Amino acid sequence: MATDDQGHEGSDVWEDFQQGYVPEDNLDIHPDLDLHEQYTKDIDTVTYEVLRHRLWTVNEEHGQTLENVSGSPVAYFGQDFNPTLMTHDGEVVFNGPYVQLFSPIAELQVKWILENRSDNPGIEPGDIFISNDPWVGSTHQPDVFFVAPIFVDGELFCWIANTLHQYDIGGKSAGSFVPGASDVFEESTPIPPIKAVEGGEVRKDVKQMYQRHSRMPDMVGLDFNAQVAGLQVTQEQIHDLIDEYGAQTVKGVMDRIIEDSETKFLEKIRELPDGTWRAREFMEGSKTGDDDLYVAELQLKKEGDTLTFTNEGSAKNEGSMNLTYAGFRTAISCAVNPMLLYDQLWVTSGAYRHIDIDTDPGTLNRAEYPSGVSCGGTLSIELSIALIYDVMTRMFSASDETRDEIITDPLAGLIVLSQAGMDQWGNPFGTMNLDVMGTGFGARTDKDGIDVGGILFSPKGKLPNIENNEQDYPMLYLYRRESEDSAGHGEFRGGGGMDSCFIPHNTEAIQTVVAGNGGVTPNTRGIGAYPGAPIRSRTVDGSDIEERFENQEIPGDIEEVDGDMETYPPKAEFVQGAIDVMETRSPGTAGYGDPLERDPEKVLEDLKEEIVSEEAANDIYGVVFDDDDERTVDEQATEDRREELIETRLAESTIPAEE
Amino acid sequence: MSYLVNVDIGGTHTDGVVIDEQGEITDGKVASTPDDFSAGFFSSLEVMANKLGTDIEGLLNDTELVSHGTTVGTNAVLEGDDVDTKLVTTKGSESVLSMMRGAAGRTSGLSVEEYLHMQEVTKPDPLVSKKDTYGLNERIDCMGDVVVEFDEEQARDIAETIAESDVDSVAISCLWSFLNPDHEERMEEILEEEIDSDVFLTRSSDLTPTWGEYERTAATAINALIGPSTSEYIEKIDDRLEELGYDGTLLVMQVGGGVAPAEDAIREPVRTIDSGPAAGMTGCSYLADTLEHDNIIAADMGGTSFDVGLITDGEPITKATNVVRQYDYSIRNIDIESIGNGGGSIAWVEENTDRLRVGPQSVGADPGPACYGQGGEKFTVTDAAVLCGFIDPEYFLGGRESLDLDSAKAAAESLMDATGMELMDVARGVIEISNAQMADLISQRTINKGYDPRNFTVYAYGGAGPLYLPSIANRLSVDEIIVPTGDSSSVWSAVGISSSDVLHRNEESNMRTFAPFDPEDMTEQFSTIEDDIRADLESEGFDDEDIRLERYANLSYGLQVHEVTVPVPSGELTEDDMGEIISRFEEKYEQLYGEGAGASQTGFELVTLRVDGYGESTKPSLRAEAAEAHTDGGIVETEEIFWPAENEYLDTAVYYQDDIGPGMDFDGPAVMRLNNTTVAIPESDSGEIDQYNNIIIQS
Repeated sequence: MATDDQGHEGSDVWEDFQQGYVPEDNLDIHPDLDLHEQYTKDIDTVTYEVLRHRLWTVNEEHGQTLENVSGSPVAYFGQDFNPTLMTHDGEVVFNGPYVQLFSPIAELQVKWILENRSDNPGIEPGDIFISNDPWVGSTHQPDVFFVAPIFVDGELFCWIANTLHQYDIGGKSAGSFVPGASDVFEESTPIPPIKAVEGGEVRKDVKQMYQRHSRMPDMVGLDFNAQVAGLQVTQEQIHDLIDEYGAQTVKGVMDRIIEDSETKFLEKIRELPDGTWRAREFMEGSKTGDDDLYVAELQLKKEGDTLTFTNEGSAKNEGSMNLTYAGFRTAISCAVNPMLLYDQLWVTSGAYRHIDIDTDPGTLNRAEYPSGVSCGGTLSIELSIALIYDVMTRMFSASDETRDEIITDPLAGLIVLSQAGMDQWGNPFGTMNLDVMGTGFGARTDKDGIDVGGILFSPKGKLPNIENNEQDYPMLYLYRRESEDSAGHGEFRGGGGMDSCFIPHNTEAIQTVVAGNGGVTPNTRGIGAYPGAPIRSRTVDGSDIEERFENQEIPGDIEEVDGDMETYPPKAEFVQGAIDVMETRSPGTAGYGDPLERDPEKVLEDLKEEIVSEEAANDIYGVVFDDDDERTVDEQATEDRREELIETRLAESTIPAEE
Repeated sequence: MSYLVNVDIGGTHTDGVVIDEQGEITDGKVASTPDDFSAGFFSSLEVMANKLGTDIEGLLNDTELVSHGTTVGTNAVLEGDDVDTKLVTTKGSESVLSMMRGAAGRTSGLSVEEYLHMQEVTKPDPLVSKKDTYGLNERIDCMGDVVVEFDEEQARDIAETIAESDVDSVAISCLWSFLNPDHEERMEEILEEEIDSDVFLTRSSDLTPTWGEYERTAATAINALIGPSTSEYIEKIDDRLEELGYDGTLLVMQVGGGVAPAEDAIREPVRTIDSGPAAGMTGCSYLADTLEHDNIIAADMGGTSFDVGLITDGEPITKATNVVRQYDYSIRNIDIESIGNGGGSIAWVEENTDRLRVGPQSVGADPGPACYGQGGEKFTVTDAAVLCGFIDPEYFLGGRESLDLDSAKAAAESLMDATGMELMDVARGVIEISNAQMADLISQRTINKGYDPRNFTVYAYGGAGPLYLPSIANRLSVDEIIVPTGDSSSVWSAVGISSSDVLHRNEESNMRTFAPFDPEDMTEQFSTIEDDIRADLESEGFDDEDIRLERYANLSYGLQVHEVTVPVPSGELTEDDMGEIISRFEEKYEQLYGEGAGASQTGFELVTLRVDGYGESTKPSLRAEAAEAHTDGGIVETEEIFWPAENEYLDTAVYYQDDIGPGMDFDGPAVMRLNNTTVAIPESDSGEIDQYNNIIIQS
């Protein structure tokens, strides 16, 4: 269905909208658009380092401008955004240190714009395109991309983009996160790249169309201004740099930054033997009310310098559980960056030059239109990240050089809690509770994970204070703490998740939507150790909490409270009444190595800090303590217990093929 | 003679200055003595006394005021003092310190390269372990209302348990205590009844009544942790000064920008953390007032780090929280950003990519840069400066030390091999990269925060600042650089301490008040805060005419999180004042965050009221002696010096300490090799030395 325009066709737009845009190596760009492709390779070491630092700073400042102008709690507390600097043809030069997922994906936006907007409406200086189409290049609809070209002497020199999560961009659930959707028509309508700023002037019609999507047009309008301001400030700074150093030099530095990341990536990959690694996990329920399990599979084939991902055996797309090509592609950066490119400031583009994605369309990890994808940016992407970690960490185990770089980070699941109702100040409220940030952080091969270390790919995303949440929403916490036994057990254990327990306060009830995965089976098995504890949400309805408060008692655990205990499936909707106590458990991460190899003293320490229960210490770590006041390790009993556990393992082990 | 004596103890050096009535500065720089920092304090006094031809007693007899900036508290928290500390908090909130707000705990205060190296990052050791944390049955909500009454019996049990242990210090921090301190206060009373009187008690609603339990509890716990050792240290200095004949008050520098009498400082030692750089900023503020500069970039480059702070409209910018050992804690402080980029920063080459890098690691005082000849094998920024010729190896630190050029060359060899560069290219590269990093930090702090650096003057100090800042200023199009008081710029933090007033700062936060604001209510709230502060200052002996109270309000737009501080008039407030507060807020918001960034349609919220109360102390006179004008700098020698930014050798005028003085004019390229620092004036610049000995460089 491509349009014919003076020999320029662009990509097959309607196939892109159906299966997800996959750029060819050679982009079909309208010949009238001149690209700045010249650069000098002759850059001295000092100029390179000076400009590299400067470009990083400019991009980071881009993020700070965005945060400053927006002033929205999502930007400020959640740090749910990221700025990106790209070459003329869309390769990423720098990502900001915020939410990583947003940057590699910006490349798809730029390439699609080059192919399909270069003649009509055209790409001109001062233009800004906006887009949130998951089939072009967005994780899900609330993550809106603002993308701007920068021209030098009539040639397209580079691109800058920013992405900011929006409170609400439409769809049938407030917050635009619709776990109950059967297809995309119940979600926010995707916006493919459209020109919102033309030659520096905001197009009012486009801005209004965009704001009209939302239940909160004021907030969306403010963020629109912030995203435009971020790009415009950055544009000026890039122009200043070009004036000072010359376009050829600046472009040469950009090229070398990517080349450096490619070199680093290849150096590590070449340590590894060729082979294929496989992983298989599950999505629990395709939408709210569905309790079936859906298989997600992934294969990673390494052949020479190329890594190829396939997803043979994955379930068909259904309900709201799905992830588009773009989301899967960017998920790869969450494993490659921290494990291979940490000293390249997470520049993934050099690695992407050697990564092929050959997944089957129509599946939950490569969704076809019109399946539901609004949960893709959180739940499905987290499942994909887990699968990618599973295959990559197994591959990295094949060489000493790469094994040390392993972080067993994928979360056992993810739980997103949306709450709405009337707040204690008499106003309606709706929020995605940022307690979601309180996850574990993975084990390393020589040290434990980090309890409540937060989401790996969002290093600046803070967990809110209890006082922040209680101020803004009608809640009262009974406790919030590291969740006991939620860290994946291992010689080096994973990072534990968090228990949050609260009641509605100064309100009658809270409308609650839980969207999660990894509640029945963890998203990942890790390698040679235990996975983290899965997510869990439960309530005690009609509780006796009021009497307890009157008796000056704060329950230490939800199980102490009297009332009707209900445990929810990963995706659920319900009303939390005024005296219903609710508890959620955010996930932990997997451990590394056999827990029977763990230093018993460390197990004792974990016991004292309430990270590991005595039961787990005894049955999983095989550690026995002396029965005195000052707990100490009983060395002989521990040795015996560990031998006993090994014997049990041998006795119980079977080879599946022979069964 | 009546002296002001200041001693600033840093990690490696203890800097002392004595300032006389004419503004003459005598310095005393000695090595710090980490085993007992007070030893360094008194040996600095001794050095200065000797220079003035007397002994410590003689010096102190003629001293009006002794002020002190100390790193003891910082060291105690960095090294994890061996203090048995307990935390009492609301039941259910016992994990507040170990959770550290998730990702913040593994990233706060670290450079991006550090926190992205996730194979290595961890959260720090706990300030207080969970087994030493006690959860109280009590609960207050966001309105300040009691939801669960304070459980007297349980509180008594907890106090008894604590009393039976080997406790040194107890922190009390409960949820919402900043709105309603009743439960915390009751817990404190019970503890006072049960535990020994020498146990150090800190209560969050007293120390820092601010919103956000993690940052408030961290501040309280840090104060508790360092309290016993820091107070012991300050008392020791105070007692010894008295023995030696000093009969005044010992003033201790605070990170918020003022000083506190010793007796207050020992209760709140957390305020001494990072107070050294704050003293430098206070000094800049004082000098800026004299020189009538409104906007200053204060740039301090020492051996290991480069610190930048801003003064706008004559006031240092402050922020509500600070970071130490990855803990964010709520103590208002002068906002200073720091990167690992100093004279001792190490140059290195990244594997595989062959990038030449500088810092953030540095060699420290021992062994120091390669050119020190103390066995250091790493090539540093200072080595590069020696190779370029800025520093004369035979005349280092005014000829007190000599340097080893060959060691510097030898250290450069591995870099030359790895990069294929020539010796002088390496030297140029290291300085250029280091300068670029510093320029980037300054631009982040200015351009990015809504300030145009061209409207600022750079004050360059610290041992290494005057050598590099003039070149960096050129890069940022800043026209004027001041090296404050010339050679004393190397001990500028010590000078700065004596320009600080006694400061009491109280805030009342999170009142959830929306416009229109009631002027009567606001007046009443301010008056209550002011009465408390005035009482404190009066009890410290300040008369009414020496007390200055300044009101501030933090506002935000209804749906946005950024708070902006605006000044509020004193006295009875009127409706007009309310309108003025809002319009000032809107104006400043737009300046900081950009045109159209504010959402006035979402209303205005009053977030915090704050009063800064100053008790004015004696200030140094900065006026230098009216010296014979060295208008020509004497007979000027020239040397071939290699200028990295220009990438060439230039015939450069070279001045030594005795060649310069007030009234002198100079033209670049020039180098001033002073007793404690080196000033490099690029070719495009010229300048003069003013009556205060300030070296003013203009481009």
